[in-house]
Amino acid sequence: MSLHRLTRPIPEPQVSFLLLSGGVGSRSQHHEPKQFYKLAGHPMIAHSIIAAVRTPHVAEVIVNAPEGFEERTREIMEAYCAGLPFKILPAGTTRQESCEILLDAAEKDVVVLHEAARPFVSVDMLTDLITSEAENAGYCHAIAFSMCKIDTDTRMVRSGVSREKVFDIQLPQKFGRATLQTAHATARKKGKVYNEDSVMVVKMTGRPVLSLEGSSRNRKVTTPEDFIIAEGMMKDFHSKGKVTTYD
Amino acid sequence: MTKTVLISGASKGIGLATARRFARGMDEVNCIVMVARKSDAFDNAVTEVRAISGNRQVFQIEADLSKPEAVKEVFDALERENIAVTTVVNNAGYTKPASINETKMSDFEQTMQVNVYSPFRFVQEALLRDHPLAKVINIASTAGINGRSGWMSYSTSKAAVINMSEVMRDELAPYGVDVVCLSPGRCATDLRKTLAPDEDPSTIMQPEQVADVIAMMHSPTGRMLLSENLVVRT
Repeated sequence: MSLHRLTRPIPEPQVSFLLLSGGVGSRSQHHEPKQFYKLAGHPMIAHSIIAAVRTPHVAEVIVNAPEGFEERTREIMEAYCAGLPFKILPAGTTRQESCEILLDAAEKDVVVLHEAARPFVSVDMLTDLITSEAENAGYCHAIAFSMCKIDTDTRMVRSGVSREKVFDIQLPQKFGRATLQTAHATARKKGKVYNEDSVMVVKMTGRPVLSLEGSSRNRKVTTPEDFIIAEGMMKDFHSKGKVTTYD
Repeated sequence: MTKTVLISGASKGIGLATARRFARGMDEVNCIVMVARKSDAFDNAVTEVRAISGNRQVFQIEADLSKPEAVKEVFDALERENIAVTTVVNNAGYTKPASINETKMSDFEQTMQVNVYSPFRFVQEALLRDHPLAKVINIASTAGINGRSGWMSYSTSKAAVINMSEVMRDELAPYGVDVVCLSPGRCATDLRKTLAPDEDPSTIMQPEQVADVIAMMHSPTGRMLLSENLVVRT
């Protein structure tokens, strides 16, 4: 007999799942912020919640609500959290602020940070991240295209950038809550602005952050074209459980 | 992980045959939840399935699926027993064949309640209550593929089951849940006797044959056949 979630053993560590969802979606040209746009019938944000709820390490979900979409966010959380505790908090004026707002509400010593615009997160990805021995870790993916430095004044190509040492920073990421709080507090004090948290932690605390191998599938869905591509990818992504076809 | 199969309409016909099939051992299923209306036939069916189920557990839950609150009560009962459902076989069916002129709204509503709303509610409750659902098997009917004169409400309800299964297949994909939709043709059940009273049941498909297909669709082999509505007929 299968035991219900509430009666199953609870694996350690238990984590707070922080879900960034503060964006107003100006790039997606949709009548709602992009996290509410439907993918495979579910609001995009729900895909991340489904993966979190099905990961036994996740003890709570904490999410931002964009201004004016607090009620819509609550409806979605109630429909998808399946009894898992959740909190809805305002978004900040920057990503960094939104993240700190979520972080301050976290009750667990370990936090997993994710964003609603990455619906291809899976239970396996979350479990591998959470059970990684590193205190702080995140998915980084090799870059498949060539890059160069450009003089932005003259628009002249200046030099190449080695792909060997440069990686695409993806979410989810895992941090010790205290470490991430220190990083945010230090950045705020120094007036530093970061658009993601792994480099922030390294620079502001000196604590190591391990990079785990990301996936080309774990893409950020932002533009109208992204949604068309994501809708097609979604069926294949879930049809056989694991993402192996193109990776 | 151990598996628990919940079968609605398990007191007779395809539902009982399916319970027997799983009771004999199938795909690590070690718990069978039989759901049906209270009746002597149901008690006897559960006794019979328990007798052949070995170490597998067999739970009996009485529920009248023509009542809107019935599915919630089934899940309340599951929670009291700490049972987490991994497979739902939405098999319970109702019919009262009548022409358009003679169809009573109460009969039409009962048909939709049992055949459409209840299967939907089983899936919805499983998601909302965080059951580790992995497979949904909806029993539709060939009568849902084409409209059948004289069976308006039944035909309509089964068309809805086929369509609903397509939506479920897409929407449950993020949960990793497989959705199977089977449309049996003429099968020797009590429901068929209501639809075709003069037919000799021994000349048509037997419930055990449909149960074999359900068991196969539940197995890893069945995953290779997951696509659309599957017609099952002899």
